[in-house]
Amino acid sequence: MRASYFNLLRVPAAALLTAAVLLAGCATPPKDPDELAIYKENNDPLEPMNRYIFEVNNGLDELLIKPLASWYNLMLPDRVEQGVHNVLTNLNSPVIFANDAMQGNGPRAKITAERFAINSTLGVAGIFDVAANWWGIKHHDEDFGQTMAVWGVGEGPYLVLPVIGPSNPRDAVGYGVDSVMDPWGWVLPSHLQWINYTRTGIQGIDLRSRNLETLDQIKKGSLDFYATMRSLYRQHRNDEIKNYDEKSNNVFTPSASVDDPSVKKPQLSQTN
Amino acid sequence: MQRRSFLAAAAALLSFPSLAGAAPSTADAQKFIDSLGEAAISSLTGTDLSEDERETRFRGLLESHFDLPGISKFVLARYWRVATDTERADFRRLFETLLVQAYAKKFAEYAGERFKVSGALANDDGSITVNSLIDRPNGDQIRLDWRIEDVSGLKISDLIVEGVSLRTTYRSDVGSVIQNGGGKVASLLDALRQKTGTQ
Repeated sequence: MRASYFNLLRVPAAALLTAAVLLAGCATPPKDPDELAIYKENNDPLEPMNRYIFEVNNGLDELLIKPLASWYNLMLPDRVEQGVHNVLTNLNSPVIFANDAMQGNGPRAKITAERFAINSTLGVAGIFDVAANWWGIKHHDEDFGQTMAVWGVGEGPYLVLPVIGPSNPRDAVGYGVDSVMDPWGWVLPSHLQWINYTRTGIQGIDLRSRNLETLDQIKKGSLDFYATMRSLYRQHRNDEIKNYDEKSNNVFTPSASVDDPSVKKPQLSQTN
Repeated sequence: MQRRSFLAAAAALLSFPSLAGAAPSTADAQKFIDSLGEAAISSLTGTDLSEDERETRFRGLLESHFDLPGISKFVLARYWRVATDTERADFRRLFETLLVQAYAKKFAEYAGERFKVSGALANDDGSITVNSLIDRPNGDQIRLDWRIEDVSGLKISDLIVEGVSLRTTYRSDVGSVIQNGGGKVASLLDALRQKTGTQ
């Protein structure tokens, strides 16, 4: 099983969750109809607890994760960082492939398989994204949370997980299933499992280092960082689930937008 | 006879979108976004610009190209009704300042990225979505969509980055601030004054 921050912190996290639920409890639905409409739109009945965990996560980020990510960003040349990122992405291919397949998306499963075959060999264990650079076969992400969404499972209420951050029951379960599905954990003997733990750690640093400016920018532009992140997370996940096809974006024939069902219309997310 | 003239009138109305609700053409909308891109890069990205000057120019582009009244109304959503005229005007002004302060500086770090307009689609509500793509130096490609409406001239009513809408996100942000401030728009204005450091 793939290690994650979540596993390392499982015991304290569970204790924290229980304590927070007991202390903070749920938010009480407001009486005023306008307020009630917002309450429903936010879909965040555990808001007091979520806000608490969000604050703890932010503290942890400021103290540890962000400095590590900044240091990583400064110390390593961009090319090396890109190589590390490519290796991590390549290692994720089996999970992406499984989810492509479970979503019944043959063409995308084929893309993932081709990328894995090409980049693992010609790309020297995934360091170089040869598939994208030479053949234009581009990376796409997929996870079990998205797969369940495709199957029709609803997201459930908003949830902030310790360390991992914004989520919901569907995506939290998806994260767990992806971890179990990941074959590298099965392949490694138990005394070498630290390799997988290290991989998860580097994955976290890589993700954070690629979002240093973005998160600062969001903080700078928002009044309520928590509410902003909640909205961003939902919109972003909905966008990922839709499997936006880049090609349809490039098709520009005015009539196609009306008549051709294969041309997907980019939809403006109006949900929260 | 009367019926025929009615049909003729209806046909005429349908063939002139401008009469039926002023729908802009997708080609015009694409040109509009292209020209905004040129204007933004040429006027905002100079390294010798002072911060104040950059903010002034950014504010100018924001006011000339964005439907700020419409966006403000969308962002305040259900609180627009209860807000007084002064509160609405204050919100619009402070919200604009927040955008200027948060985003003008981005152009100082401009590293030569260009966005290319890749298409446009007419939406059911008469607005137009112009699609564009930005190539990042690290090889990532970002989808940036522009929602264009005709409000006495073409104006941008929303920016959608990778499926994340600017105005929808601000609607959540602002809604939460008001909610935590006891449902009072005044509490939002206080928060905005504090954040922007202006009156």
